[in-house]
Amino acid sequence: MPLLPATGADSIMVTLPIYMDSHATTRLDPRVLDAMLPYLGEHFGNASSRTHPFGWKAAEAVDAARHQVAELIGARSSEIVFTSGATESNNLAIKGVIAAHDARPCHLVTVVTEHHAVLDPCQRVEAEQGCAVTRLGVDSDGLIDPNELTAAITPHTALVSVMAANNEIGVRQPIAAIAEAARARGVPVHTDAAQAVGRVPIDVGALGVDLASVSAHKMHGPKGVGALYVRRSRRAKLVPIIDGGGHEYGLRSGTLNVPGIVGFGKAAALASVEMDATVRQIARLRDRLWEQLRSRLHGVQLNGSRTHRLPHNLNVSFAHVDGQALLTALDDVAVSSGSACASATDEPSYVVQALGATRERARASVRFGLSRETTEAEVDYVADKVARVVMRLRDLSPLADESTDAGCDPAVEEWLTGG
Amino acid sequence: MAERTAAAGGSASAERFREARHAGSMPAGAEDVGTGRAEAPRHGDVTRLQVRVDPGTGIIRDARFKAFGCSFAIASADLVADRVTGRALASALEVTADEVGAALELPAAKWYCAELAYDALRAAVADYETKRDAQIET
Ligand SMILES: Cc1ncc(COP(=O)(O)O)c(C=O)c1O
Repeated sequence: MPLLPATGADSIMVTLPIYMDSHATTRLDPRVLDAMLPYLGEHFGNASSRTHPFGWKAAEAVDAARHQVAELIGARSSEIVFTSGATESNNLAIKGVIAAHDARPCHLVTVVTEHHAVLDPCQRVEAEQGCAVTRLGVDSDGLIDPNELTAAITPHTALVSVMAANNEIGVRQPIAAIAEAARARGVPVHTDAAQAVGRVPIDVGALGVDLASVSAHKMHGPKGVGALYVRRSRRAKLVPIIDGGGHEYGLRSGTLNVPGIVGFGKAAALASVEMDATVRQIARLRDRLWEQLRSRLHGVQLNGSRTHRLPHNLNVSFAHVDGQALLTALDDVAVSSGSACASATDEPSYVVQALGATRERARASVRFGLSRETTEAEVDYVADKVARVVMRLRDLSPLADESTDAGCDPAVEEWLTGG
Repeated sequence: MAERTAAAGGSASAERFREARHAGSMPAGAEDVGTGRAEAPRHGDVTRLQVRVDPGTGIIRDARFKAFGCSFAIASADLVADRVTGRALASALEVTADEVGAALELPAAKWYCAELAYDALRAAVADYETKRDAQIET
């Protein structure tokens, strides 16, 4: 028997394949592409060419984009440093602050569930600059305890770096409380806001952070461009990691990616205008997906806080199912999984395991990333298809066989709770 | 259904996984059924393989598997079940893990999936032989 016999759901009007992996990247909005095209064509000037109209045109466009990005996050234009993306922004923030911190010993605080673009720079400053790193754990909801953070800060702490929203489980950390606690001790705060900016309202002033990383391609902008927000007042001491022509206030050298920056600006402007309406619509669809999966399947568990969560994120573990097998069976739906087989590493999701979950639950985790393009018909199609694939894979699983007691299934609950 | 692209997993193992034909189980207590189970503790994968043998001819008439693991583990189990069906029990173990791994073009890191299926087969053959020999003695 083929893995998934066709049923009526295939006739729902949707265009296949369906993209539901918006934490990995998002579709370039056609309006963003339109804004970019002239800067890949006739307006090819170098934004640093101050002496002729070609350069002026490019510089003008970069200024406008800087303003648009600043506006989206409640910053001033002069606080936006364009980079190649959130990875570079995180590297600049962490390595730049630690390099500027002359005093030794040196210490920084971060969280175990951070993206590798934070964890790896932290590991490097730890190995190469002797900067001690405290990696805070999270509770079963994926949240850190601000009191624990306060307790972790020492007189040598040079930086606190906590992500605004997690890329796997969508959990939003209490950044305002964290920043307040750190700043009370005079410690600058960085937040990796790559998954949050453009998807939920983020105001750097209200959050009280000193540094924030942003990425264009997570908000329907182009890939390879992002920004680091650098607070002007009480500016954190920061040393550039890329030296050269002194672009971007001397913090990031290199000829500016003008078309990319223009696209970033346009994506930010669209988000500023449209976010309020789309956030509610996306949350409703995400909740619909969750309700459908829960009503059709037993042994499903939400990973991460229900409430402190991005509206477009759903991360679910399906008992007795390997995420990679599920993804392979879902050949016309793009989602991702915490299964080790789905990644380059040999270990299932460290983020899901940080919640106190078993390796089995981590490997069974599936991440759905909705976006403003997601339709109700897509949600229904995905829920139906996932439910059928899960049931089929459980049918295939000797574990389900060995533990299922005709209908009621305590073993599944035990499996999920790690009991 | 959408057209399957190569990127969507048009590989040999993904095809085998999606089109798995030998999933299922047979009564483990039956005299003509051998049941084997193998685990990869490091990965948490479990494969169970069963063979139904014609007692007169010693030919494997049917083979069924159940597997918990990634698509590679499931594809490996299905291919092993496929290849031993119709074979004499005595030559069933000539279907090697390497043959399965190569046929499915498994990545090196997933070779253990073919070994897991082979281990389950070996256990199933041994289980059948034990039952058969016990019967001859009584
Ligand atoms: C939380 C987080 N930080 C950083 C990054 C890296 O962003 P970029 O692709 O712009 O380098 C990502 C994207 O994968 C992310 O999700």
